[in-house]
Amino acid sequence: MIGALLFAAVGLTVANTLQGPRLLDAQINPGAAVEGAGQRLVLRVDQTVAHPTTDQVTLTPSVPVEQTTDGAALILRFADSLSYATTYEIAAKVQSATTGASSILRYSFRTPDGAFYALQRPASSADADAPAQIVRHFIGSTEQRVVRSQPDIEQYAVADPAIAVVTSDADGAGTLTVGPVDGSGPSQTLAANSDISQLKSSGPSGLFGFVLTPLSDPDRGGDAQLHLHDPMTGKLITVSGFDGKPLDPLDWAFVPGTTSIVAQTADNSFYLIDPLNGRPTQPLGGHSRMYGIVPGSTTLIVDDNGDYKAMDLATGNTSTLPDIDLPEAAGLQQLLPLAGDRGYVGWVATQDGAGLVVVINNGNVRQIYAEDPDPTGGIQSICLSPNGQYLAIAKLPRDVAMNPDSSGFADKTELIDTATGRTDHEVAGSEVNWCNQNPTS
Amino acid sequence: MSAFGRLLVWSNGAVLICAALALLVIPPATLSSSARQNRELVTSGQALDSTKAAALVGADPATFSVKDWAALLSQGGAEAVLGKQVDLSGYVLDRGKEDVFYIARLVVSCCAVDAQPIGVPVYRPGWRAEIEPGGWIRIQGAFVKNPSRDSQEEAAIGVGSLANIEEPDQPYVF
Repeated sequence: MIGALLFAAVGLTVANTLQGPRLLDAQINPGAAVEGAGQRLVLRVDQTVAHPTTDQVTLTPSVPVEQTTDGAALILRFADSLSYATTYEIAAKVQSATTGASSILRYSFRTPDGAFYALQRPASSADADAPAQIVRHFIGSTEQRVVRSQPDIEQYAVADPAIAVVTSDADGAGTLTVGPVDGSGPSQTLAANSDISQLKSSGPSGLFGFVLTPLSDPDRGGDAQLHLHDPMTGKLITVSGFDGKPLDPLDWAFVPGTTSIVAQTADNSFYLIDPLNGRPTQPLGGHSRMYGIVPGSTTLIVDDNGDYKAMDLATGNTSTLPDIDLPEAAGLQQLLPLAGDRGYVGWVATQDGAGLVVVINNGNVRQIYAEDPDPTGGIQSICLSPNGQYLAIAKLPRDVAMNPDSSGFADKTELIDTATGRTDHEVAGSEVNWCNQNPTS
Repeated sequence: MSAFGRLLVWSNGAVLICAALALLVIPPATLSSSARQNRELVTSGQALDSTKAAALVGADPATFSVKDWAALLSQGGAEAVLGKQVDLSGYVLDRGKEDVFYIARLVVSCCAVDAQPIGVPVYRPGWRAEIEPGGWIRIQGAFVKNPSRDSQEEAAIGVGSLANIEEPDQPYVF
């Protein structure tokens, strides 16, 4: 009996020594991984692992990753955002740092279906109390759900699980309410009898921001001022400018993954402000316009009177983008940065007045969309999904001024796959919630 | 040992050997689908989002123009600019001070005829002996508390180096 136990103990010890690391647990936030680059997959194993080489980790479909180890964990950081509704399979050959035994860790996860929201306004001929609707859609699915239905919705923004909605009364005074997007609880009125503009969401970090001008409260002086709101804590923060006065920005944007914002003031000066932590405001110099922040990074793209510049807010380095050579282009209406090394989406007005959308990457220009010449409408605005996989193109009917059935706003939005140029989805309405995570202009 | 005792020993041994063989033969198991799903739900909240936010430094002030510095000073930023390094080119604007001149540019908002000068004070006692009003210069230095009793500005550029230059191809700023 003792001999058998001894034999078994030795056998088990040998087995344990020969066996490579085994997967105990995995941590990934698939929702955040489609919202932007830089998310991590943590594979926790039962023993300390050696640092794997690049060719020892494979992802299907392929995504660039940076790999590190932390004791008994292999950490993969996605250098690009992931695609919606996709199953990712990881195979990583790892080696025990103590015994040298190796094994292959296998793990898979699926990213969420691409959910987005659009605002459908009633026709201009409809009754004054006809409701506008905020509708939740899923890419590639006909499933949809009305999450808000009320008259005179002017703006909205979603920071899941919360939604902020601005409505206006007959005199144009605005009311801002914030509540659960699924209607599971009551909404809170954050501001009333005010002019409310530039409502934006920080996306995954769950903050809202808006410029508020009280219309009737003499004690508040009537100054327009940027406010930030955290629906989780109920905290409302007023934002001051470099001069300490209420900040009334020409344009502004959250810097993803940070507690900071970038604001452009009326004199075209730019500032980096951290209203949550109260760090000193950093001047960013004068620029004519901002186009957005490269997803998954802290690089701000600005326009200096026709020179496009990339400003890395983490290092302070500024570089000038290569000249964008667009044949037959009369002007670049919009430039939206894509994540990773995918370049930029440009909305181009051609000399004959038509609109095109192109992807610009390392001097190569690839057309992904051309405006319809028929009356279905011209491009009114474009914005990217947070992972850059889709471009939402809001289209304005050409007969908008004459047609009583028109709402007076863009009434159709197409989702274009930025890799293929294919129209993957089309919905009624416009002002897709992705647009509220970008600069306004 | 009785027959029953021998049977007990052998059966115990067989169980242990089977367990050892199972450990040797069966490959490391990955998580089951249900376990993966549950763990994603558990960790899909704020756990991984609570990593420290990137520290931001903003922009390199060495890239700022005369217009940028003038905008900061006009917003009461004298304290904020102290110690900041500058590398600027502009023309010499004389405002009648003996120890302070302004390095200036013409700012165009619409067209050249509407251009307005915008400048940053430079503390340089005896500057008239070195440079001509209206001439183009390049200065490198840093902002200091303005020691001049002749001008009101709280901060001025204390010049490290100063050189006369040709008028640039684009003398205006926008």
